[in-house]
Amino acid sequence: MIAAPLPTDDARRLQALREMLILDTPPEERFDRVARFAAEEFDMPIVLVSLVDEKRQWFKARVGLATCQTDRDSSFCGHAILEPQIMVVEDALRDERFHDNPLVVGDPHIRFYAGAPLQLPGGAVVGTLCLIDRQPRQLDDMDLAILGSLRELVVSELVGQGTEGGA
Amino acid sequence: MAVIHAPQPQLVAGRPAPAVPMAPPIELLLVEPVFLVRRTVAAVARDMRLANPRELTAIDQAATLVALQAFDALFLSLEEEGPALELMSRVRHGDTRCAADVPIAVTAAACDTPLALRLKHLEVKRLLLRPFKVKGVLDAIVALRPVTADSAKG
Repeated sequence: MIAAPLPTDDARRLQALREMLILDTPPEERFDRVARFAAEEFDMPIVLVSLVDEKRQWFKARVGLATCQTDRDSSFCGHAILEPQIMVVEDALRDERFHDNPLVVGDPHIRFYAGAPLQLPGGAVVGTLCLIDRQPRQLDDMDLAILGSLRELVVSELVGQGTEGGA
Repeated sequence: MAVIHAPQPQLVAGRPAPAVPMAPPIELLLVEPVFLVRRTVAAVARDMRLANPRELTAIDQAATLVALQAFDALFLSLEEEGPALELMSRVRHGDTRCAADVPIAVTAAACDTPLALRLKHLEVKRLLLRPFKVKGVLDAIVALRPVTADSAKG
């Protein structure tokens, strides 16, 4: 396993994350709604709105996962926040970074991962909207565009610019 | 034993360019009451240069708009079935700014035989029954686009 590396601007990123005052807050329908929608759209067993804190990733919204956080080193999202685009791991068992990751060889037995970075207007990438499956998967261009669009909705909610409260 | 490959840059664009040369985006009137569906469809259609969607939540808004502006295609929710059918009838009779043969697709919660016959009479090109996926709506929008030499090859 290759532990999630730290971005060079991690201190600034963490400051932006903490200034949002969202860590460890209760679930909110505005985020849960997007996670449920993504799970149904992509037929994914697990969908997360994951925020990458200093030592952990904490889930503001989660579908299909009981735990509310995991350690940062083993997180896929810790890798994804370093990428400017959506990070796709089609089969974690065939990827040097993740093949022996505890989240792959143990619960929740991740095989497929797609993480869309949540970048705030100031540039800080605070987490991801991510799709997870227990079997290898692929996404086509339209799937990626849909995931990117849902990511933008999550970012809008994070910065308080959600435009509609309805389903 | 699993074969382990070196880390592959499995990075792909979140906002990809179209895979094949496409006709210019069409002007699309999109009436969809569900926010997440409407906003996601509109954003992806715009990003993939399939359409320039005008997003509305209700048929009465659409009826007002088509009196003022022409569209290349209509994608209408039948949640308000009566007003939606009336609007389509007006379009087909040339009583709006849209061409009378403008391509139309609809979404509905259910469709019985009388409704199916009515939609056929109104020359509706696509019907999607709820629950549907955003991807299904986008595929239907692609079907509403004019056939070009490039798309015909595919």
